[in-house]
Amino acid sequence: MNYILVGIIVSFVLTGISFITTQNIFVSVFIFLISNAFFVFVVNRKMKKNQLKIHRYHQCFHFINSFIISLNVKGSMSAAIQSGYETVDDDTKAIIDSIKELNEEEKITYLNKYFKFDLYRLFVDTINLWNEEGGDILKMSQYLINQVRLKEQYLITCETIHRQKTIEFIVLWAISLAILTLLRFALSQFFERIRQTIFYQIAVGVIILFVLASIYILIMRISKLDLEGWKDEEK
Amino acid sequence: MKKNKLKETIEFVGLSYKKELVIILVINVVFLLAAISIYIFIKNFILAIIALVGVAILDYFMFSRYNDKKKTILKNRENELVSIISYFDVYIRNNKNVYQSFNQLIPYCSNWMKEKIEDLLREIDEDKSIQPFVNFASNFQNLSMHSLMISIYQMVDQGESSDQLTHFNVIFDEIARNRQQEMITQKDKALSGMSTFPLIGAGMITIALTISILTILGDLINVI
Repeated sequence: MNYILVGIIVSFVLTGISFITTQNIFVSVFIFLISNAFFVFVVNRKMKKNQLKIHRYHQCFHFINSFIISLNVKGSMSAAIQSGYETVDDDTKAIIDSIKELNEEEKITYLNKYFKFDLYRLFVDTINLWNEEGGDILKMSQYLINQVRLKEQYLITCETIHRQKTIEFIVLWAISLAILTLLRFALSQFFERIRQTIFYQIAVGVIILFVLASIYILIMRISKLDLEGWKDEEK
Repeated sequence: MKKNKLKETIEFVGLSYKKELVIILVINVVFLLAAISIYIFIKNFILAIIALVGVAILDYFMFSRYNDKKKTILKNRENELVSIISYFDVYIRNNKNVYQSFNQLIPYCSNWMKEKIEDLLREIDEDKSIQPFVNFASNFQNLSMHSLMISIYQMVDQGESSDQLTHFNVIFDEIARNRQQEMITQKDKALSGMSTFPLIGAGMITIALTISILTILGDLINVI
């Protein structure tokens, strides 16, 4: 999703509301600048980081699953890596392509720099153990696969909750701001007197800043995901 | 006694007791002086009362935040234990013994947990009874953590037989399932709370319009 474009549209809407309700160019310009800076520098960055974390985990999940199943069927590390390679996206494929010269174990270990999750580290440990001692990889990694799947389910459920609650949040704010905008027309000439009071002009500015603050809190809550090992400053 | 409990809580969350008390004291003095000044110089009794009520509410939030922070830390520790025990499960299933499995967990732990696991391993070296496991479990409030550690001890005591592993897995699966459900419930609850913001916004709009209308009506009455 292009968060900058969405942010610019929302900041135009907020600026439009502030201009319709206050008819004060200074308040409107202030709202425009603040909301644009907020969406471009705060929301965009935070959401991109969050998307990256979720996307990377999905890739990690597909890679581990395909790898273990293929290793169990074919018994070869290179075939397992190839199978994992086929299930991941182009960015991950590019990372695997860039380490072609490494051997299979080194490739798996190297990918821990890309999949910075504790579960991936555990996967590497299990594969190393299988390399050293042999055995039934499916049995050895049964609990690891369960954990990886549980985490994937958690992420999918969270994504559904995020979508539902964000829509709810947008609809409720749209109704509240629509009331403010419609009152400007409903109160007609009386509104002209209201909008001339400094208190009202400041109040509209504060309400719109409150909208931005609530969006910030929503984003912070959305991006709070429990993926052990991953730090938000990861690239 | 109460003072000691407060001190204990503040220090538990990693803050300085004295520094925190000074901050709270300064805020209270500032608000009190503001309330007195408002009453003496502006002669507005209601505003002075609002300042006093404001500082009382602020005090409530400042004092309760230590307890909230403490609860969060304790919950995070329990969550971390559940995470690393799921890794422990993988190691124990792959023929590592309890001691080796705990040792393997250290790279995955926070500093606090690392310290506790190292203490546990040190105690296991010296004492082969259940005591090191009970001591480790006492770092957590949740009783199911105690059952979990006892089931791990039974693996040490009676060997990592399939019966013991099953017993451990039954307890652990229950804890892991509950934790997963709890995490999803928490997420849902945190985001459901977001719908109060637009309602507060609607309230702010109503208050702003009401005050503006009353101001204009007041002006009109004055003119008449």
